[in-house]
Amino acid sequence: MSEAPTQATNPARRAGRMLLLIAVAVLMSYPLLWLIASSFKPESLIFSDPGLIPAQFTLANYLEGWNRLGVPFGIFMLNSAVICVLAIVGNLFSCSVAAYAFARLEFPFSKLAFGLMLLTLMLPFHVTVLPQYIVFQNLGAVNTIIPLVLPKFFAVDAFFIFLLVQFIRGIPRDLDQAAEMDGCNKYQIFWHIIFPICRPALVLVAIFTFLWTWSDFFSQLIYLNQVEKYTAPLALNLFIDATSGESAWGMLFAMSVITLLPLFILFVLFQRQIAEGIATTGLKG
Amino acid sequence: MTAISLRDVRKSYGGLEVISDVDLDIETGEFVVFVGPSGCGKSTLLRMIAGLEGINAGELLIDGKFANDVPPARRGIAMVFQSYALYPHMNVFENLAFSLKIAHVGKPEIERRVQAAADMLQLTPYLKRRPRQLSGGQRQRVAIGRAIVREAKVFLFDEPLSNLDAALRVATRIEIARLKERLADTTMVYVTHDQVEAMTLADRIVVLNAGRIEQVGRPVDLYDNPRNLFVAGFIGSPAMNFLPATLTFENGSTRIERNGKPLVTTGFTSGGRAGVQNGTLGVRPEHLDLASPEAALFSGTVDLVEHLGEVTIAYMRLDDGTPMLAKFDRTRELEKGEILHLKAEPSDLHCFDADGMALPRR
Repeated sequence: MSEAPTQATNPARRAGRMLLLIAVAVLMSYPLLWLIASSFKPESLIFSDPGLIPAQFTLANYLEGWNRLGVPFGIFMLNSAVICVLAIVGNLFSCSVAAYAFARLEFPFSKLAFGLMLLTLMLPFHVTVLPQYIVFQNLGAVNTIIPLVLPKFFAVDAFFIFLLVQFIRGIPRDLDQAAEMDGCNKYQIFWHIIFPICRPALVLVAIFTFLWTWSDFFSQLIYLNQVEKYTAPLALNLFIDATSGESAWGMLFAMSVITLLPLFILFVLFQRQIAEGIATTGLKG
Repeated sequence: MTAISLRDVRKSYGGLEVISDVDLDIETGEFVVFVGPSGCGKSTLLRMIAGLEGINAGELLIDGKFANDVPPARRGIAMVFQSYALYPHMNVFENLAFSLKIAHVGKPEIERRVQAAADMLQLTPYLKRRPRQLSGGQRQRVAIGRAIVREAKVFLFDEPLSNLDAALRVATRIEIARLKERLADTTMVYVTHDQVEAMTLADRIVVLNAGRIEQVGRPVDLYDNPRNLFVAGFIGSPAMNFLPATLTFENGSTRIERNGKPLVTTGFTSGGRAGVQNGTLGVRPEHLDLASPEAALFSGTVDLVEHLGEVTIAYMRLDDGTPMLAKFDRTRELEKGEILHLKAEPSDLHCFDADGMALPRR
């Protein structure tokens, strides 16, 4: 039995390591810090005085930018939020039901269906976007949020289904059988037992759905074409090549900061789950 | 009255038959223990009664009614799982109340029944706790409470004590014995591989081996009159000693010889057998006693001595190399290498024919 810890905690080495980590952290977050700093600078100083500490501090970008697009920026935030909430609700229910079926029920071709579902993970979004667009156009659903939200209620996110299938497989089958003895049918087993136990995985699904939907640009761009229906990322885009011919950088940065706020708050609140989620899935995030 | 009847019940997975030809009647209020080595099919048989496993052939009758296809919840059966299977997201009260909630039992009635079960099992202080905040023994009691709350006619226990440590296992075993007294009308079927649990709890023991019933009987009957070598070797600890012997059947009686020396000439009938067979002589370690060299049935050298406190177990090797265990109380000091001469009462000897079946006594 050795009494000293095997790894010597040399204070100098410790300090060196800390310094290195801080340097990398600053390097990584520099663009973000610069964005925040620039949002408080007068337009003219943004590129002439690129330091992190503003020589002149102003809130004009925020006050002006909020109403610059004819519609208050809050409306765009709200549009984004509505889509996010619906997408989260849809994903939570549809993906967990689908995952329960794959993990627990035996039905014809269940293995094949599972394989096909996993294959869709490898299908880039851009391959399906055109046929999908045509379908929604024929349904008259373009320029509504339906194409952005409705699919979420039909378990299209194979990644989440896979995540939940793995989680449900880890739940002892004894619990299902105990519930069966207690008089539950399959739906009741799902609703009373499996769904609540999946909570940690469902939190992950909710967080990632939010992150990906909130920062989605492409699909929102192709389906929404009326400014009042625009989401926050689309609205930000309007600042860049506004019809005036010059981009309103200061306002763009200010509104970007506001758009990032929910993500930032979410990260602070769910830091642990997000890190675990990325670690356990090893996929995008 | 018969609570559960199994008639020629079979179960197979693919080509592998795990339960064959099981015929068994369990009376109302009886405590029946299924015992057997791992993989003997005892849990499978229990789960077939519960309805968690299908029955391939044969009939299951519950209260005299054909029940092969009745869903588990409608069989009037409650089950205590080996892993307890408590719902981790519900507190103790909700765990106990769950089956009643699913059955749409009224709130006051749920309260009453849960409270009664909690009182019986001393769980009242823990009703607001989650399963993970409970000790193993408390979880076990909640699992039993779930069965009590349902007021089921039949309780099934699937190795309920195997996850508990030794001390708690004894305590919980006694609690189950008390429960059996209190719920005298409830039929209980209990699966275990621990023969102490089987011997102490059971009204009747069913010994299973490789999907077949080897013997059914009261614990003492199985101990005194095992039907075959398997039961003889399985019931009793340490296990019965088996010694090769030559059996000669003559005029309805059996002559036993070991190494050419006659051993016991009376006591066993031939049971209709004739001729000469290579059989087995059985004697339990606790039935062996020290004897003078002249009166000894067996003589051997001590290999190893185990002191268990109240008893001492001698591992011996007989003259012909056969291993033998003998159990003594601790008054006798034993030493390795010592030569012991042992005897046993003729009534404590067991004799098995070449097929391993016990020979009937006179």
